[in-house]
Amino acid sequence: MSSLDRIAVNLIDEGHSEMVRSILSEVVSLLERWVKKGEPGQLDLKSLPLSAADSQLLEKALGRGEVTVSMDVMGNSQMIETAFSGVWYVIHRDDQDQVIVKQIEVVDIPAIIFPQPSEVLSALGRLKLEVDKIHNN
Amino acid sequence: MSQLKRNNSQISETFVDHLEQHGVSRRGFLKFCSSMAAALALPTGSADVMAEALSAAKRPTVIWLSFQECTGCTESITRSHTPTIENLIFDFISLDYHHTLQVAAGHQAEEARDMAMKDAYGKYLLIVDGSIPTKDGGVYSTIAGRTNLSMLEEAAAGAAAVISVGTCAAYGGLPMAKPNPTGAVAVTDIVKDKPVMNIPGCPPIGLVMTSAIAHFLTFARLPDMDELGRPKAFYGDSIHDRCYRRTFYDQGLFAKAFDDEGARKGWCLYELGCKGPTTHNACATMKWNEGTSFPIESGHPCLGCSEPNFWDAGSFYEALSVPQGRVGETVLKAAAVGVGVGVAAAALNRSNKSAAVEGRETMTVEDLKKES
Repeated sequence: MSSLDRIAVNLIDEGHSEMVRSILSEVVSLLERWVKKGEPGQLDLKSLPLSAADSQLLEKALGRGEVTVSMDVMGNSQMIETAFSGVWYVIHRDDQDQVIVKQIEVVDIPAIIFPQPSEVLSALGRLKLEVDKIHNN
Repeated sequence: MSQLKRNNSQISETFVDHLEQHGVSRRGFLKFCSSMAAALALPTGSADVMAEALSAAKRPTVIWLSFQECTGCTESITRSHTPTIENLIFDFISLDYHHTLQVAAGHQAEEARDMAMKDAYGKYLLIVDGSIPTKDGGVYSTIAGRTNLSMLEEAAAGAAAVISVGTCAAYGGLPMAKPNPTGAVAVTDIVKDKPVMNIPGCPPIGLVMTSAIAHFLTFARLPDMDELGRPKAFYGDSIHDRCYRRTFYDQGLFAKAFDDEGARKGWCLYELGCKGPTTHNACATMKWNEGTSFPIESGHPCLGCSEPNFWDAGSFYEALSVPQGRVGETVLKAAAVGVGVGVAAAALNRSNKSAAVEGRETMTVEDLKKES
């Protein structure tokens, strides 16, 4: 990121927590749907007019869970479990460290973490080759 | 930026081939699709659909024509600060003609355009920035001895779809401002028989443009548009509705001058001329300069640059888009009352806008200096 990050920003409590309350209600609905119907849900935070104070309020309300997954593909990505199982923050950054996606995902584990069967098959072949190399040496 | 020459192997390349060549993994591809789906406000699960469709998408031919413009739109896109994600799409397209970016010049450049149009007739995407002068046979802007008007008519005939980038191409913009000495018109005034999408803004946001192309590649059609031909995903809400200062508007808290207490506290800029209530764009959420801010966040009212006739809608610093002497006191009083007046104010502003254009006064240096 740029040197702008070094400029101190004083957050003002703007007192408009209505947006945060709405988001939390939406998360409750999504989690209910996941529990009852097994349908995953997403909530795009980047398209909402959240102030810095709103974002902090939301993060405080959802808290932090036990799992954080970091992924380095075309910039860093983080899948952060909230204090509520099944509710994740998914944050994708580009190689300039700019946030390009910030959303709440409601699912057991975000899909992007899982490898595809074809990738696992390919991995098996590559691993066997590596093992053969070691045995032959 | 895309190379400006092409060969058959490039044309048959799929998007996944392209990604593999650039060392992008499946997870990287899914990340790209997630960002595009989020930008386009597509429903849950669309990233997977997009991934499947884009996997097989073929490299599209794109011809970019620049007419009466300042090149700010091209700057906005090429100077974007999200190079990895945006360039995935922008590098993928076969940009066969863009007279500012291409290496070729003169007859070679024009031959490249002719060849691209012939090879991909009926399939290529035509991007236009700048308005088209029509007065005196269109002589006020020519390229290689040809008028913009004839070049557009020829290129549009073979296009699958047309994208007008920037307010000049979309609505005439600055060249069309009164007294419109060149008889400038918008692309839609000329092209009537092809799907045309407008991406207005002075300049527009780069990611909006990229996302629109991604949508075209994914669904083989342009995204859903509003009555002014703009993609709803980006222009569906007003700046006012998405503004983080909206809460102050609802509470009747307004900055009255650029250096007063209200300005310092970040209150609503409505009374300083903000055109947010009548302007539809994605600046308030997508922002500019690496996501740093947008004009209102930097303390300046929205100019309304993504709306038709914004240059002729009165002073940028006059409250509301209403004619001089008809400032909407009713609205301001209503705003001071509190919650719920935003929609009414926006509706009133829209209805007054055409009157504002007619009743405008010429902006003076004093207007520009005015601080309150």
